[in-house]
Amino acid sequence: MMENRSFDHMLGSLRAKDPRIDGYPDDWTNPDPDGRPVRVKLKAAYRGQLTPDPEHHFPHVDRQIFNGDTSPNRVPTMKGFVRSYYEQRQDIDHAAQIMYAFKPEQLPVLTTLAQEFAVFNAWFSSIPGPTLCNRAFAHYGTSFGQAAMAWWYATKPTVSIYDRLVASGRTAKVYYFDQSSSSLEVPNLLKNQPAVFGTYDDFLVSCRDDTLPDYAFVEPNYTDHEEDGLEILASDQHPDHHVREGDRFIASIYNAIRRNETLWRKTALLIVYDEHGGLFDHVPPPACPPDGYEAKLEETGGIPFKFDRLGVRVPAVLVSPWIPRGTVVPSTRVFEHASIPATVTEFFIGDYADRTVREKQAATFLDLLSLPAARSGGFIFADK
Amino acid sequence: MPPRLKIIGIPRTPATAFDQHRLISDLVRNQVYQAHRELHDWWRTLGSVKPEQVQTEQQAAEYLKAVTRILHPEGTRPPAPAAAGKRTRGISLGERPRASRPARRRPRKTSRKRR
Repeated sequence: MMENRSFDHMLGSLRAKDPRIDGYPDDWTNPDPDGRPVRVKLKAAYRGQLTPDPEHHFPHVDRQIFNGDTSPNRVPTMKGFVRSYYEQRQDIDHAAQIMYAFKPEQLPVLTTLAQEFAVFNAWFSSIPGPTLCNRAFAHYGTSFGQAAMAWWYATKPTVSIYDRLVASGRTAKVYYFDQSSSSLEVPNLLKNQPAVFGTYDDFLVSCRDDTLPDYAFVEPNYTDHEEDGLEILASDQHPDHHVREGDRFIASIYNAIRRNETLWRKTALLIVYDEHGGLFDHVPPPACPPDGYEAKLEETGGIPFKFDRLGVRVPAVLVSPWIPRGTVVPSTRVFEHASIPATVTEFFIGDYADRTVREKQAATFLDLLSLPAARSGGFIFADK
Repeated sequence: MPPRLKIIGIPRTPATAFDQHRLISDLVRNQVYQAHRELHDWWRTLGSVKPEQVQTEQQAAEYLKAVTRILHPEGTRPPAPAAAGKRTRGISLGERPRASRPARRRPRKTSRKRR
């Protein structure tokens, strides 16, 4: 799971190559604070444009989606991104960079995998809010009522996908990059269950030896840091980290699986981003079944929220030799991060009652592995 | 490597991308505070670094490493020989290890304390 990039920002330009991919329309704009339209431009840089870090806490995301409309019957327009970013630096030219998109050739790994395997037109973050609550949906199928970055403690009966798998005689691991990057699951998983953790090095070895657990969740490196005399680049793609290093990180995960032919034929790799990071997208997040929680008003800027609307759309790509080349999952099939534990539970465990409403109703995706025989050949990434 | 695989070349990330003195994001700041909370008693007894003192990515990395070593001692072991042969620090896409790039020593902009 990568960090803080929207679908249109990363993959929207693919629409020019394949009109089935729901990238931004050619004439898509957002108004600036003076009401002038700001167009999408293919001018995204690997780093240097998104400082300060675009706001993506609930009140700001609400503004980005509804453009400041707080009326009872408001409709999401996806027209508030420029105005939201403008508030941070009061600079119209700078705020317009929130509408920049990458050219496909700038992200050769992500765009190649998207075109060769399956790209989701409608994978949304689970909450119109920041990282930790969104990642919680990938681990637990809920954020336990959290809509912000506060820590929390997961409580039964909703246990993590790792607990469920282990209790069912299956195996599962979270692979964090290294100890200095650590995990974003410190309070609930790392403290209490260090046995379900491994490092990026462990992941590479397990791929080589075909000893991966049934389910593996891989975390990128969250910081530029120096260790043992070496410079280690952040690979999470969180603004303002260099996006190419994240593309290379994705390539290394794909390569590790692809190099082991046995592992390749029995593994599905999902590449997904936790949330949009304040970057533009043109598809309004749909409503969803309430989660049984109500967010604290101090986390939402006073806006009532019952976890009944998804967050902004994010890139999601599914890789497997059992997927037909060039699969585009249509917009009529809506996915969110609760789709991850839903899919894993369905495949490895089967019926499992103690899940949230959101997870029970989340779409699953293994039907995309539809070929009668695994594709042969293919490609691998290498240093240029 | 399996046979008949096409090679797609991916450019390396430029060295200028590295900035260990970059101020931490809200995400990493929260990660540091979470780590501090989990080891509150330990820090009170043995630690002198407060999470609010952590400002840069390098400082955050050192802080998180100290905490993670305690929470996850298994991770302190050196990589298995096979892994060490596969990877240098940072992301490498080659099967053979490439030469490590020595860190550029820079003057410290802020004080650091290593546990």
